[in-house]
Amino acid sequence: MKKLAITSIVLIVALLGITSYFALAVAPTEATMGDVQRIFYYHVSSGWVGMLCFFVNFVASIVYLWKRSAASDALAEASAEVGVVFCGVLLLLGTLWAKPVWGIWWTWDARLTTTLVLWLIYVSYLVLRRFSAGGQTQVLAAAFAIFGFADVPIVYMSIRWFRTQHPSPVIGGGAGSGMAPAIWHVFLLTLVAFTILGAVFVWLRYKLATQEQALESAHAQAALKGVA
Amino acid sequence: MSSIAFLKLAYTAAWIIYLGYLARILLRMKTVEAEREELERTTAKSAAALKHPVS
Amino acid sequence: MSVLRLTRATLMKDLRMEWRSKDAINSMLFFALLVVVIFSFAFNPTAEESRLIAGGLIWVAFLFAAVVALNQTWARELRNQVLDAYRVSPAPPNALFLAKALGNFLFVVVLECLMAPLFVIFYELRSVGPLWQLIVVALLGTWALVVNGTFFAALSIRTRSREIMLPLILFPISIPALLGMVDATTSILTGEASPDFWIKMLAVYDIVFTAICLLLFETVLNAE
Repeated sequence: MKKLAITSIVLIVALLGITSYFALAVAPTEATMGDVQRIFYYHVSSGWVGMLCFFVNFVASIVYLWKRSAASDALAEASAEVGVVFCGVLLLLGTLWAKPVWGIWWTWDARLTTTLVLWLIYVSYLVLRRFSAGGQTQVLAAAFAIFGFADVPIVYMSIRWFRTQHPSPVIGGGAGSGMAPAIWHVFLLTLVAFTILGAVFVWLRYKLATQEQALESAHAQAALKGVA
Repeated sequence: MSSIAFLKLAYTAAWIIYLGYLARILLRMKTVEAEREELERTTAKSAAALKHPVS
Repeated sequence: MSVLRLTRATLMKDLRMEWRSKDAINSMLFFALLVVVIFSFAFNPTAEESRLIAGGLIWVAFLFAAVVALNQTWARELRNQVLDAYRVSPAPPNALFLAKALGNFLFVVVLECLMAPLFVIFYELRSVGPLWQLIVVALLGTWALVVNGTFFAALSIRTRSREIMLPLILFPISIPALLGMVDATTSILTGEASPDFWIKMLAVYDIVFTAICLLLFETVLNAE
């Protein structure tokens, strides 16, 4: 356990450190927005990892309903939680970027609103898992996960249409809107590093989930044998 | 608040959230391991007691 | 026994029981009324403002009232071990789900019919756009809420804080449908935009989620 803790701390700090260094020191200052634009590297990369995690949760939930394997349930739980964390960072960093650049903390534009709704859906998934009593949490959560992910394109479409009808200030240009090569390189580096970071977090959380599963069945075994 | 302050706040917040989440996972792992050992100790004790009943 | 016949039988049973006690309908009606009154204190709109906010107000009131109905969907079944009986019988589980969903749908639609004149009175409502469009939006939107709500009510049967769990997991997923209902209603009432996109989107939402509910209900029923 000690070894695992030290390795993961070192790895994660290294990944955060490298990306921060490149984002804050190496990347050139952006012309229009100035240094505050550097938030963009962490903001987009966190979002990317979050969305990836939600997709993993969707696949793992389907696999669980099909195979009923403990591993797929553990992966579903892990990816949802890590996804909520990374998506949360996306939202937070978005507001911190918006305020100095646009003067407002938040606006109900299409992208922000869609992300917030997605985040809410997966938070409610975690709430369902936490509050479910009895041994069928996994099945119920997996079923709910399918609803959640099926909703993603519908949420996207409906909010985009809503915002076409009722326009409001758009926060930030698109990620790929004419990036200078230097910025693009740092962006790619951060993206790759964050994907690794996300994978490390999911793997760790997955390990914790399987450990908790093992503990629960050990308790059940002991109770059966009448010794605990 | 200057825009640089927002930049610093953003990166600090990100670091705190990620490291904090890491800490939470590791602490929970420690708790689960401790519980597991506790369980194993009590089962071993009870199993031994069954083999050699006191009376 | 075919799905259709079983659905009809279960549905008629539920409707008959509800007609005798009128529990659900009364509490829903009262709750919706309270919401309407409180909102009118909170916002105190002029006639012009009313038309703009009525869409949102109406659907928030109906949403909360629908949750009251949804919460008691499975209560009776739980009390009398009906779900266990259903699990061991060869009856198709989808019939049970459809009957429950249709029952809730009828309750909420009845509520909407009763509340509509009240909204007109309290908010001086007069629809600029065609009324039939309002009815289509209401029907599609109500089904969107009710189909997912009935399914999630089954999901939350064995959770702690069951009554709070249902809206917690229902609302985020329903946001696109709610958005559609509210914006379409406002568009029709003010006559300022066409609700066509929303009607299509609500139809897609209804089809997608009805399919998912029917596909997954048996799994969830057996899991309980």
